[in-house]
Amino acid sequence: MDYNTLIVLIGLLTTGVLLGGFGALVCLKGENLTADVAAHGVVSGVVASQGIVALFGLAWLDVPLLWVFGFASSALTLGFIFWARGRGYSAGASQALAIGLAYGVTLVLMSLVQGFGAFSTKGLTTLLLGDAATLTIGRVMPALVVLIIIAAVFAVLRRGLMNWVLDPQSSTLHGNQQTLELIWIGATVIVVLTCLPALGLTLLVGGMTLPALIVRPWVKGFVPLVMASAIVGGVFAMAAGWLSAGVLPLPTGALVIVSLGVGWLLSFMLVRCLGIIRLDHAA
Amino acid sequence: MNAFTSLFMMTDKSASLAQKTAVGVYGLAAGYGGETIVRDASFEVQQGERLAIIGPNGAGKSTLLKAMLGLIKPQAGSARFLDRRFNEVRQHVAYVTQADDIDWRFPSKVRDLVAMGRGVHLGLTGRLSARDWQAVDRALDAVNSLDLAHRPLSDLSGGQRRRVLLARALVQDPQILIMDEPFQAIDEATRAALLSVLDDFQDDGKTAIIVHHNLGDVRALFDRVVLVDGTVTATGTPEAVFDDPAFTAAFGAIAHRAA
Repeated sequence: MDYNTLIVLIGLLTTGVLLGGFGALVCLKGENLTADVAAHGVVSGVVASQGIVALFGLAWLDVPLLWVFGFASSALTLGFIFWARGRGYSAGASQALAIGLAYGVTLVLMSLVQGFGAFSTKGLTTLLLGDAATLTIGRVMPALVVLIIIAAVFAVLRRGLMNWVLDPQSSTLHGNQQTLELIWIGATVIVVLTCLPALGLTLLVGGMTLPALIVRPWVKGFVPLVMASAIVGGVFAMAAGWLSAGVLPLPTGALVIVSLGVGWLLSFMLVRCLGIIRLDHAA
Repeated sequence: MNAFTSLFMMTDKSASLAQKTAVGVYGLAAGYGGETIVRDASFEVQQGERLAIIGPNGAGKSTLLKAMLGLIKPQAGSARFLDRRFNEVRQHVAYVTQADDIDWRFPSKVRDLVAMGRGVHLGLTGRLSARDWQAVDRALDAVNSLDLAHRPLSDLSGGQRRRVLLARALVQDPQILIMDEPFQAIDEATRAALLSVLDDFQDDGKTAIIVHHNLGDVRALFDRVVLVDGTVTATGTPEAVFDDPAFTAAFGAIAHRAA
């Protein structure tokens, strides 16, 4: 195995573990679409950062600006969802409003930015579909750091998180609601930004949802579910990457999602065949 | 000290609990989406009392509870617990929600759910100690549900869910227990277990506020009653409230005879 393939596989393993583990929380909280909104919210920030880089000739600030603007726009989009919910809008209506606004702002910005040639069609395709095959050590290392930080935060907060996910009312009474919501918004945006290069925003939510769905009928505990989902996400992502590098020359991100989809189908059928009634996927 | 008191000897009792008024509600108004469901609600509950909040469907009983606890933002007025704001004494106030407010398919065991009640003392990052787990088991025992400790939440029946939620509140070792319709749709065994716990709770001089629907047993179970019908329309002993014209206005003459 050559060096580049090894880096890609490590990157995919990291991405899969991160998406699988965090995705289990997202699924249990019923926030799959919120994560999708976060992914779409990133784009307007990315486009804005590219525009600023092109307009002011700040090519050396390309990556930091992309992170800062992507984080800011995604966090604002998620913040909007929580704000709208607080004003009495349903979860679905809040997500629809946020995603509509995110799309609208993105398209306006994109039209402006394309005017000075800062945003190529290839760049857009990469953003939408990911490009795991071109992962470099420079992109994989931050993902590893993010994974370690998120795992550490989960280890420290797992009891409070479980309380919050299972019974937000109780979490509010304990005085933890606002803190956890802020951590949640930050973590969602960071996970989305970290995983975008490998899977792209159209495949990201699949990567978050499918591992949790695969393991959900088989695991009874909260922490075991998060860990099993992380492991399944990592193993499937790496296996798909390995297949893509050798046996099946197909786009890696798509192969990850398709293989996870097959995994879910097998899990689903096995649950039915074995007569496990608890198909409570909570997704 | 009864058996229930001896369950919990570990929590901080630094907050002075010498005040006589356990809960005071003053001109509280609350609702959803700009609509006011309960308005200008005022009443006080003394320490050691067991108080029923009664009222017809849609009268605003649950909304009133949630506004008192800050679960929804009051449009006006305030609620005081042990003469302080809720945020200052939150560890002394436990709330037993309606059982259908919880996702019972959540992948967790009963013991873990009950342990959540200790969270208010531990903060976000605190770890459950062996003593916390002992308290969890004792709380489950107090509601005759220790055998459920290692069962998945999804396996529980309706009555078992109510007992488990009460155990979660008890493990918090509260001075004030607020419950939203705990006696609804439960079997006799569960009802007896809940009443036994409430009796012990009251014997310790603690306060219970309970939204209650069955007017037939209000006299037997409660010291005082607050009648809610869009606002607080009557307060007093069960007899006084049942004889109040506001009671007939809220429930009609047939309910008056039944009560």
